[in-house]
Amino acid sequence: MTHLRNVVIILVLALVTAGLYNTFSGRGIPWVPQEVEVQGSKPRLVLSSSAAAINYIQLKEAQSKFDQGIRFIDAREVEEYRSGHVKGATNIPATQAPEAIRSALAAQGPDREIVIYCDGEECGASTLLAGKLQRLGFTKVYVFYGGWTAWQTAGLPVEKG
Amino acid sequence: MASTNGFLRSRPALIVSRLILGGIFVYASIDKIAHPDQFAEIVYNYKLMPGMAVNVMAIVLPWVELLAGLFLILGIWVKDSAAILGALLVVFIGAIGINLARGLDFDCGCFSTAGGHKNSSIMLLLRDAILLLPVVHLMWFAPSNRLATRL
Repeated sequence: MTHLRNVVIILVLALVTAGLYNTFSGRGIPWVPQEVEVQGSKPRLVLSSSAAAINYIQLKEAQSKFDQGIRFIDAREVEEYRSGHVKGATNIPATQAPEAIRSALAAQGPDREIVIYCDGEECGASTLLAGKLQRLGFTKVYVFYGGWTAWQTAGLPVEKG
Repeated sequence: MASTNGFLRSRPALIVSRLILGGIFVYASIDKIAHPDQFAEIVYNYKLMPGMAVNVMAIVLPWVELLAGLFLILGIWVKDSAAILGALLVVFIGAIGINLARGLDFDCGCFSTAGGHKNSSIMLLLRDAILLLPVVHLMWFAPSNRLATRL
């Protein structure tokens, strides 16, 4: 019985420290993720940020923003970006530290529109990066839901390298 | 045979197992604790839990790894900490095994939350299975908890 008791104590200690850290460290995430409506698709679960300010857009809207010259950011890893990306998109891997993200977007005003994408509908990188950008103060962040897969399939402008 | 038994029961052998197992789990926990948002995405991508439970897992699991690993290193409640880490390893083996069988392309998120660490799943399974050896060693041969019997 002491064994069971000790296991429970360790687990409870972990739960309490995790809770305190999550509340006070400034790196915390919500205990329960929020669902965000995505037009023409099933809702997407936003895990790591306040979902309120993330706007999910589909191919058509992404294309019109592309035509308006709005900045596209590829949230995938460098190798994936190099093997092909939306024409003119900047690569900022979602796993980068906030400081690196800030300096990569130094020239970008926080109220300018940004479109972020990753592989496709199931990838989390674009949502993750969108959350980080929000915390850095960017207010008009769009996540292109269909991502690279939809863009490529539609035969829209791409480039390599 | 008796000498093997004696060696496994010896203090140095037990300390080595404690430090290896505890050290690996403490190391594995740190990056996840530093980046809970990224770890949550990784847990989500395993596609084994209801989405609503993903964040609870991402918030708490690294702290279980850290505390049980620290207890092992410090020699506190050795059998119990080893049992917890053993249970986690069994869960990890199950999770990786299921996704291997499903042919899902996923990031293991074992040691780092940064992307691009798509190790081969077979290697991951093998590594977790090997890590079960110190678990079995400690649970079988470690003396009963001093602290526990004292309390």
